Amino acid sequence: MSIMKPLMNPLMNSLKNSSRLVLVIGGVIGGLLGLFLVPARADIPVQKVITPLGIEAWLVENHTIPLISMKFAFQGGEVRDPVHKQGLSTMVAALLDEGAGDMDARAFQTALENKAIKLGFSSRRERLEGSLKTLSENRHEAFRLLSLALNEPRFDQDAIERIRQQMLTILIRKQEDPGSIASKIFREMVYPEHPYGRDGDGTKDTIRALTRDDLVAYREERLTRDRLVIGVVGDITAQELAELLDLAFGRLADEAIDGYLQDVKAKTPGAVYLHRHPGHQSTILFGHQGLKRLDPDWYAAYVMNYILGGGGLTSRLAESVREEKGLAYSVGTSFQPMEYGGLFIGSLGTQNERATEAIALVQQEIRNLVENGVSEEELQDAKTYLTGSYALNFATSGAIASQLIGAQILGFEPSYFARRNEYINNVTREQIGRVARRLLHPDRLFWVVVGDPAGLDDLPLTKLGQAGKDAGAAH
Amino acid sequence: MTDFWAGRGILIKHCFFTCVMLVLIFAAPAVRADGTEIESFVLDNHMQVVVIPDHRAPIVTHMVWYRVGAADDPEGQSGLAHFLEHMLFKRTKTLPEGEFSRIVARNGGRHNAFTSADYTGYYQTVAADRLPLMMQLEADRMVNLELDEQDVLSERDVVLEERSMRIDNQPLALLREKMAAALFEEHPYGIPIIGWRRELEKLSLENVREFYRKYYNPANAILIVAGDVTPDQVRALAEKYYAPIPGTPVPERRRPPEPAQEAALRVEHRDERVQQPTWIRSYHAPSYSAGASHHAPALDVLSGLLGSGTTSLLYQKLVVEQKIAVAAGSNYNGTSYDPDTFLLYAIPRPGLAETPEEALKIVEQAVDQVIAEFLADQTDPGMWAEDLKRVKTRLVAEAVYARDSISTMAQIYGQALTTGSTIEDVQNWPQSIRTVTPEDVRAAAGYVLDLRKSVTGLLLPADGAQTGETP
Repeated sequence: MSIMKPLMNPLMNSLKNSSRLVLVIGGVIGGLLGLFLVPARADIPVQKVITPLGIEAWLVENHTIPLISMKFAFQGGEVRDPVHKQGLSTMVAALLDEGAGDMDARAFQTALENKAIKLGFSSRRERLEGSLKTLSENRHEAFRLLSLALNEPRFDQDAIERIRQQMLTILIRKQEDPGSIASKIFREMVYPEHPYGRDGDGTKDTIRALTRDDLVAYREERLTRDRLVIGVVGDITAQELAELLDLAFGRLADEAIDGYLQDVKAKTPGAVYLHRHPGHQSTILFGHQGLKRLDPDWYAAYVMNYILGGGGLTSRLAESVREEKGLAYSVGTSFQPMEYGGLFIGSLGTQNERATEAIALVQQEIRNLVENGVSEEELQDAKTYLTGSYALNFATSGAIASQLIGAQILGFEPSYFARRNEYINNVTREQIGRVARRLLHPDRLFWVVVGDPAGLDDLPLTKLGQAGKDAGAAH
Repeated sequence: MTDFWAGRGILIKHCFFTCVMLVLIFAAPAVRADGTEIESFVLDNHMQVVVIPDHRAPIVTHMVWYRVGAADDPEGQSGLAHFLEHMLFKRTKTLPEGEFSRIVARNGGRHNAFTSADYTGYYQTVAADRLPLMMQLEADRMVNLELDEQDVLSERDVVLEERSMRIDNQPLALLREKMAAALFEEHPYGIPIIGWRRELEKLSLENVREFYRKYYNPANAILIVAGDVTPDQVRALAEKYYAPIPGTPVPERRRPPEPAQEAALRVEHRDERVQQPTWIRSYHAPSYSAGASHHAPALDVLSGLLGSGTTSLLYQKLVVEQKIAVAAGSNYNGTSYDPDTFLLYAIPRPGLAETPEEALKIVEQAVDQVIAEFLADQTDPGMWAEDLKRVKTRLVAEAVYARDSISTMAQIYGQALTTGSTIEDVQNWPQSIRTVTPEDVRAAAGYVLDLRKSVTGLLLPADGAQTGETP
């Protein structure tokens, strides 16, 4: 339940910013509920398009609305930035649309806006993602501009300095935000010797040291065809698309040159780390080792997490922490799979006076799940929600395009979309019991608390940071 | 759900400010939509119904909007409209605690609710064949809510945590609260939607019940269904589920008018958590349905010209040419029941000046210079025509892009209808943008960008605090 700021755009619609959900409580099922769900199947008619130059894309044609939405990603991302060049992916993503060919930044942006074309790049932990949205009548211009951005970005010194200042500003701002502070501490403690422990946005020193040559090299060595996946949705035929894809992506180098990474386990000390920060509320982040997306236990873990803390509306944690005790507005957990590892992670925000109580309660809920598993009713409810709501992930062109690239990154075939609900439905209580014992370790959770909490000393956990006797010992 | 990298900055220039601030407040101009076959009708109990068919996927968004929001909170009970929104997820005469959410989830639906100054909305997005059940649930809690003291006490704690998270943990949000309070002395837009903490702490069961009885009934509600349905299907279902509920007269919305402001105001918020200063200015501005509303389309265009995106005047002058700021822009909120605001902002670049106060002074002077030149008509006429055309193209295209999302479409119509606009206004919006002339923009700018009708806000580190600035 969210607040709509009076200054909020209709398009920044509430659906996006109100993922904090609501309340729950188990209970008797009334007459209303005797429904069996036959979920809307995600039968997504995917065409595989392979262009004359050998670029592959997944396309979902739909001519109802005169627009085209494309997402594409170059796998690799921030974790592959060298340690002394942290922030490089971020800077490249910010600069690709800041001038290309014979157009400087302003001219390039003006050309986009003249046709209301939306082109953007963003940097992620393990990929650099691009997004293109255009009215179908302007598709040639849209792909021409995209081609320029990818193949002939200017990286003008002027634009570099401007973006550098913005990146430095982001670093400063993150020091104001409790969630960002908590993430940083967690990341650094849990992955002390792996790129996952670093900040993809860079550090003050690395951002200052990045040069134009770094950007040029990045484009040549890391924006390559072997790392590319593409998803397209909307008012365009396969044939039309093929030609445009060659224009945009056909000239990129074949193979990436970048660092090699090894798998890593999260190092969690079973401790609480306090960072004092003013305010009424303590922001709490917790977690430990999780699993990878292609792990055979993934679906069991996913369903289990929905029951524990994933279903914002109806999870055990929401029920006990929020609903019964009024301890938090938002509380949740998730498994975060990564290419070289995985995390189980959760967060909540609670008043300083009750932080200790909240931590103990979350621990107890997790322990309870490990010891007692889940009920048949909980499992059925989780399945009906997760399968029934799957189709909602395909509600807009952009969302479908994101699903298309997500599946390709995992190496799936388009048939995955029709099969995915089967995988969920096959999960059993026994599997969840086993997976809970394998994956959840309440005593090994690492807790980061940013705020001014009372009584952390009462917790039977090692104290680090400003909670420890030797303040800052962890660093 | 958290993200391991939660709170990291995302460097998207077009929303640089928004993203950096981690507070959803500034965005592109209000956008409306066209090009779909909307059907609307009214039930006998005066409940308005809007149907927005879209058969691309077998899903629907079902929304019920009430014409009541935080600006209708009784005096001394700020936060009540939003608090009641939370309470609607509790229990009813027919459903035990939490069962509402459980049923929606069990049927594969996602749902939530939101409160603004002018409206409160509830929605579910769900497979199209679940629409009858959603209507049954929503109709039930429109009139059958059951509450006790304990519900109020625990949920009040939840809302206080929500306030801590959204406002008290965000220095910028605290500045915005102070600025709104200064700009709106009489009108309740000066009171935060979530409420003042001291008043929130006192909201009672009786307050909630009274507000619910007064505002929640079909005559004060709008049903919007977007997605894989036909108007006939929606009509039949609405007749079945909503029509039997009696519509009772709803009090007229009457908020105290804001007296004309006569002198420029300044407020500052100093906070030990602030590492880098920010400059914001809010002006009184008409909305699409109140005040000098004929200026509204031109104000959307003006905001595009002055401060949306990297080609805008403020960004080009302050960030690109003078290199004194890392972000600069504007925002106009025209979708309000009463006259609202036009806003400018700038974030000085790190190390711009010896002190944060000086840095803000430099960017303020630069913004004032841009505004003065704009008002004095010193812009290159050729460029001006090009810029105007580009901004209008972009705004009009947004109306097509909006059609891609059923929830966005439902949102657009709900917002318009609860803030005094009509379906026709929404449908004519692209045309009203196309017809905006340079003279219209100048006139609107002259009307709104008057320092005497503004509040300038400064976000600063606490006195004597070390900042994170890096010269």
